[in-house]
Amino acid sequence: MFQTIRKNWPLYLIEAWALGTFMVVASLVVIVVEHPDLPVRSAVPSDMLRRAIIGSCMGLTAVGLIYSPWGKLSGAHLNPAVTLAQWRLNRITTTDALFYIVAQFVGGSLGVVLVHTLLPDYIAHPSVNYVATVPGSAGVWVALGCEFLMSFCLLTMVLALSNSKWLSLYTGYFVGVVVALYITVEAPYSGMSINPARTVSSAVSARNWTDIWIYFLGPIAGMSLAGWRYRLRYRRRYGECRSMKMHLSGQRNGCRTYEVLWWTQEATSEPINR
Amino acid sequence: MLIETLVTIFYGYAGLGAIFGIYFVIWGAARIDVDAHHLPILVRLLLWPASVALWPFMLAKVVRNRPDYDLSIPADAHSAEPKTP
Repeated sequence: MFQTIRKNWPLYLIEAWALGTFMVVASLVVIVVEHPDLPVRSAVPSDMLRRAIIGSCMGLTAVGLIYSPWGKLSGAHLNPAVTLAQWRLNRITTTDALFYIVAQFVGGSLGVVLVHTLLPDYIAHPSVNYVATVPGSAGVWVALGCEFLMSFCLLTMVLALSNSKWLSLYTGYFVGVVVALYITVEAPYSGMSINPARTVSSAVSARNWTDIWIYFLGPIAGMSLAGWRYRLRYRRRYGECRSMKMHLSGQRNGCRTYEVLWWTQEATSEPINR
Repeated sequence: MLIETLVTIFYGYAGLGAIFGIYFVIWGAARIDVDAHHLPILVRLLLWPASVALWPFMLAKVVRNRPDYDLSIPADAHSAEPKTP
């Protein structure tokens, strides 16, 4: 364990940096677009169009982080639900998963704290509200359902693409577009989080923990189900395989933590890892 | 006038993208990678929004790739040695 930490601690910092950057950009973009003292809100009266602007900026940010040199090293999970799903797929060790998740929560929270320190009046304004994600007027269960469904669809798409030899290179771009679309269309129902660390990051500064459980249960359940279904299909197609064929993993994209960690007892004399 | 032109261009881009997206989901993805041929149509539908937005890149990829009709599983697809125990 200590050997893993000593080897991979820079990757944990990268995860913290990545979600921190995402939250800083989210805060700044929402301030610029939604704050009534700035001209964009009055120039663009349509709520949906303003959400499309925010969504496009956040989609581009996600793409930038995923394809950044650092992002490629860590795999740019930015999301504990993604890390847990990858852990369930045995693509990342327990120690790495644990520290990835801690780093994501700390990094994201520090990002919002940074903007709160620099622009306290702007980020605290009710129109920005620390970019907190809270259920919309449709209610808690609709928000939970949306979070679950979005998470399931996103990870299903990511797994399908990242295992395609020729399409895997476009995975990050597809994620960016989908994030933009989700923010544009779904934000009124749940705030569009699909990320427990992203919601907690805002909640820490806003001190608003309203229905926080939704943003843990929905994304984690949705992405876990997507991972489970993926593995089921993979096994059906390839049988009891010794390794998951992940074109996005290993040296292909330079990620240092992704490894093929799972194989069956029948395939080798070694015990199943975990 | 400029705004109207930009909006028209946007709608044209999105309209062409929507048509290409349908092609991509049904045939194009499998043309690029035979593995996509085995994906259920519902999973391939998840690719539609991004293929609409990124259609020029995907179209270039489809044009560059000749269809590969060999759908057999590569011999080494699931036999690689694990890197670490």
